[in-house]
Amino acid sequence: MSGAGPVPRRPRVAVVVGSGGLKCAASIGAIEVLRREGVPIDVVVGCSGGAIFALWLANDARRDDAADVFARALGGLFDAIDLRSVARALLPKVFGFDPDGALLDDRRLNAVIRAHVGDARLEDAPVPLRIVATDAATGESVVLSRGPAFDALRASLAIPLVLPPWTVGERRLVDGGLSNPLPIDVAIREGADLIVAMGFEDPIRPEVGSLAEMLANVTSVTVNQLLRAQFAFHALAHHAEVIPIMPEFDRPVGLRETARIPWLVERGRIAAEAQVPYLRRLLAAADATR
Amino acid sequence: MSAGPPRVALVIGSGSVKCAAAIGIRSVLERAGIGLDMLVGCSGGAIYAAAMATGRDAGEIAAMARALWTRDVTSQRDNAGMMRAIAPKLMKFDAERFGLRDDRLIMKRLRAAFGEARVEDMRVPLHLTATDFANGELVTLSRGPVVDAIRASIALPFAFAPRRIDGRLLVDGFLADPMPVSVAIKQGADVIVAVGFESPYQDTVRSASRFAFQLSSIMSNNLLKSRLAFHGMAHHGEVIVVVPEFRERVRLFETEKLDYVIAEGERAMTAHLPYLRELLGLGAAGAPAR
Repeated sequence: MSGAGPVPRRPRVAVVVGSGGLKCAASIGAIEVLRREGVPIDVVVGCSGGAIFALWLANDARRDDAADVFARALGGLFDAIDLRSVARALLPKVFGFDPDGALLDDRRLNAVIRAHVGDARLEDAPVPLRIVATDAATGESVVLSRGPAFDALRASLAIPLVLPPWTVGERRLVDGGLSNPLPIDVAIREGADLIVAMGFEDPIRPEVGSLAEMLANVTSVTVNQLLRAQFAFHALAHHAEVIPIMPEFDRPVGLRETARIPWLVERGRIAAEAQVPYLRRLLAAADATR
Repeated sequence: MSAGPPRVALVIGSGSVKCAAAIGIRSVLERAGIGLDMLVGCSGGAIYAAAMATGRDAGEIAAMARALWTRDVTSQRDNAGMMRAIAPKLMKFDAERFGLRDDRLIMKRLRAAFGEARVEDMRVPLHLTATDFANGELVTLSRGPVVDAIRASIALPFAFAPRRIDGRLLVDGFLADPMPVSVAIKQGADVIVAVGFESPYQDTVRSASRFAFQLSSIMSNNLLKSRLAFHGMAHHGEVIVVVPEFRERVRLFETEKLDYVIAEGERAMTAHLPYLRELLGLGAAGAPAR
């Protein structure tokens, strides 16, 4: 029987960690489950908050708590809102409006990211890594696969109004979640046969008590719809098996709520466990054909 | 397709003045003897869909649009709204009533145009879309006063206050789906002509409102593209997407460009007509078959 035809290869596995701010910490629990099941990982894709965990996973998660620690450090930074820019946004005629302005002074954040990633480059990660951002001028999704990990992470995390955009090469980049909240398409282009897609819908706030919360709700509505529309398309259009791991959250998780990280990790673990039987079947089927 | 003649729907997506291209599209269909069995409208498109459903002709609809959609409908500042934005503690922030623009003028004009007409009594079945602000779902309004349904469909967050209908707080339909082809599919359309527009990107971002505009354009354009990709794949032949190309820039309230917009709609539809005739089994040209 053997000897004729090409040797069947094992399926190429991608892990995609979508956008979702601190909620992306749920991917820690999901990744633990993948590891326990011995799932081989050939390519990792991350977007916005998910980029933090994608970077960690692609570097083989050498320090087991690195991403967790990093997320906690990031959370603390969002307390430091730059009050001048609040005034600037409300009274543009007096202060002048700066499109690169943001509510947060990004110097401390940049230092935290730098301390976390150092001079690492995307192309040097042991597992191929892709980070997704959005071109601020054209709205298009941008995939970063080379260059300093710092730039990629900073660009992908640039939540509008909260953080200033980040320039990479010629392009001003903002949060990847605006164009591609769960970048399954990137995994498909990388030739993945089996895609573990960790996506995080934003719960809509039931009570809106300020303009900022209203803006957050408006953004969440459209980004959730975008996530679902893109997921529906890729599930329909491609032959790759997509295993969705999408934990549900009963209420919004603020960037500062780092005390909830253990709970988030548990949500991610539960969502991943629910897919384990399917995952085992797929991997067993692949083994049987080899 | 079901037995009997195929049911043809026209879906008019969001796009303010550009939605008037639908007038040109309908004229081309009328001349080809193709009647509409269903109209679906979202945001700016809701106005034109409703006007067509009442049986108005092209000239009447253009006149109505000129009277309705003038710059002064958004130049009426709502000072209480401004105060609520700046001082939420002082003036309790209330999402239900929050809009920076007073909606009395637009309501008066909508009433002048549609009176007490009800969505379910239209000459052509009509469905208008809005977004449920509590959960982000697409809401289809197929009953009730036309004026209320249009007001909900055009409730652009921050500009106009949301509209409560049947207990649900509704905002602009474009947040959930800028071109709701899915509504026509669910309502049993066999062949769908859909007209949609990408939101323009800003050349310069010099104010907070332009920043918000750019942000919303990025998200909704990505959403429009993903939905199109999905429907194109899932229902292929039966969805004809007409995207008029505007070489001239058409601004939000530029009703002076209405004739140009209508002509571009005619031109774009004419290009798709042979394919539509083929789908409807009307042959290459000649006598109207319905």
